[in-house]
Amino acid sequence: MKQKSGEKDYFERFTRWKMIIIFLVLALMLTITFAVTIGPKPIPPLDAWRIIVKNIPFIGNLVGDGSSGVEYSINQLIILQIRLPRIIAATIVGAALAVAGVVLQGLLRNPMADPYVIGISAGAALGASIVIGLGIGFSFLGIDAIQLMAFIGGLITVFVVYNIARTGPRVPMLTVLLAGIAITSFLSAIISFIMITLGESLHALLFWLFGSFTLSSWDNMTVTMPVIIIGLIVIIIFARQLNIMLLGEDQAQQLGVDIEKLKKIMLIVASLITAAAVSISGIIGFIGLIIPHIARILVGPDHRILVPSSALAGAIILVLCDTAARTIMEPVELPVGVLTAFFGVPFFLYLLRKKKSLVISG
Amino acid sequence: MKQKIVAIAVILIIIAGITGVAIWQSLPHEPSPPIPFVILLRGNVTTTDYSPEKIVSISPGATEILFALGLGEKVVGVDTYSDYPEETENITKVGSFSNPNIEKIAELNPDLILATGGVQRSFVDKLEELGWGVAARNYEEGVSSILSNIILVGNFTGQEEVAETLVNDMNKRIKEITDKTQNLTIEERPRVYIEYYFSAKGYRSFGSTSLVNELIYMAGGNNVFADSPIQHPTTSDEQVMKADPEVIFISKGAMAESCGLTPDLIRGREGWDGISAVKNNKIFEIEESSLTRPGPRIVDALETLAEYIHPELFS
Repeated sequence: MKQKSGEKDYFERFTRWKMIIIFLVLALMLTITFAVTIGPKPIPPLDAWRIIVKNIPFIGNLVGDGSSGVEYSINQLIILQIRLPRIIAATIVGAALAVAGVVLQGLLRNPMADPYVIGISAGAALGASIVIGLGIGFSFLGIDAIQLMAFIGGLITVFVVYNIARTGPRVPMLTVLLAGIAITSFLSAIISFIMITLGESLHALLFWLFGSFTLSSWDNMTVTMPVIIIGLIVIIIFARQLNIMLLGEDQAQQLGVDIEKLKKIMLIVASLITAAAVSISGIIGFIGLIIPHIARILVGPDHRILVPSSALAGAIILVLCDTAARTIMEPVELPVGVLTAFFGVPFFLYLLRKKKSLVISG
Repeated sequence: MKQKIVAIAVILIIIAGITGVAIWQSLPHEPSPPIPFVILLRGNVTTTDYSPEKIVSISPGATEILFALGLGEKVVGVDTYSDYPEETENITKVGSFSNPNIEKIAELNPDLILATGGVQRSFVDKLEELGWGVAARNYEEGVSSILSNIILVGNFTGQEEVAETLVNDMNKRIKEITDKTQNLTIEERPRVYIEYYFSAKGYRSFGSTSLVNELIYMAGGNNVFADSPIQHPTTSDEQVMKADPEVIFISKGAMAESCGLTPDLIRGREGWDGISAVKNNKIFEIEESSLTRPGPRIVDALETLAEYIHPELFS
């Protein structure tokens, strides 16, 4: 690398980062405005946006009434209660999974890691299958039983995995990984058993396991959305320390980072946002594994830029995939997980060929 | 260290306990969870004095009820599994049974929606959020629930009389059969095996909680898998041979077609030539959609079963 004065280097890098973030934010905005105009019912883009703007406090009054009557109220229902909630849900779930993937790949120093590797998905799936198996139906603060039990199931599993791996004050990450894989297999066996006994509600469980935003509503995001947003902010704050982690635990220790505390906080936060995301959408694969790699290839390994750009890229890709999922085979919807892999993997392989190296550390 | 081990052990025991209870509960000893028939109306109407102009059905059984009540003209949307009667072909599809398309339903803006619980429960919740209200839920099970569903649909569509006539007719046809079969002893009931699908994993049949199990009993037969707590048990050569069915039915429909299930295939299975039904050539086909779909054609299925199981009683 060329030797430059540190200050100038930093300034250049900062400007580049700013450009990347601005670009990605604009791309996300564009994706959302595009996605909201697409669906089974053709609604002219102008009408769609007018409906949204009209419902923003203060600004809304500046926009004149477009049309009125039944047609307008149906459009309003579709835009505000069906399309927008699922687009926003896809945005926050995409961001959460991608960032949790970045954190876990960094902590475990393993490019194969994803947010589910330490058992969250299996725990959440078990929670959901118990609820579906028992036919429990309640909702609390807009969260239904499946959501709640998926969230709790995911967190309990991570807690167990973490404590199994812990030896004294230290938590060897390799043991976390192995324990996670072992517990995942164990829970999967239980889930398979429940599935056999389910009868007609098997469909409901399969539907949940595939992952979908079909049923997203504002109500079931009232708790999970703040959890994810706060979690993302915490991870961005710790981005510098995550960089030091990449040097290896021993070196990080020497540099004065409380490595065990950092690991603990990051594991907790990554688990929280993953569990929250899973409780909204079910299990959506690929985003948490591949988006961090795509972002790493495009913006480099520094977590200060990697974390926010992964969040934005994850959001953009998941919104696009969900839009495709609900439109290409209309009126039948595809599971969004099918599309994340179908579109994402070729793009990832292209980048991989071009860069020829998978930058995981340094 | 010791404390930690204890803590982990406690957690594992709790998890094992919860899953144990869950597994035990999820075994359907009694039909659980209840899968109700659901009627939704736009707005929060609860009165039965209501005559909808636009109806959407996301359940094939409900679709058949609507057409049987002469409401076909008003049906503006159905799920992709609703394929009977033929007129459904030209009706707008609103997604599949297990994944209905909410936006498509909202676009059609129906006055009345027919749905089920179970897999559709969360979709019903979503529809409620969007301004349709649940006017009625029917938690009954089995054949009698189909009759009460027909009455319910009649009540909410201004077709009370048509519904009553239909139900009376169905009841009469059912009674003609059960009058002759209800007093049969277990020895007088031929052992019946119905297969609707097979794969490398085994043969799929019907267990105790299925509608088909009840139909076999009503028709004077004895389902060889009546003891299975699982709704659609997977069976094997050994189990079928041990049960030695005297009458075998295979369902005729999409499921059977997809795996190539035919009477000849049954006859050709290795070792099955020792089974009574195969020896006596008592292998019959029965329309899948009438057999498994909770709609008016269930009586057709019952009559077919009865005629083949007891040719001496019904001819």
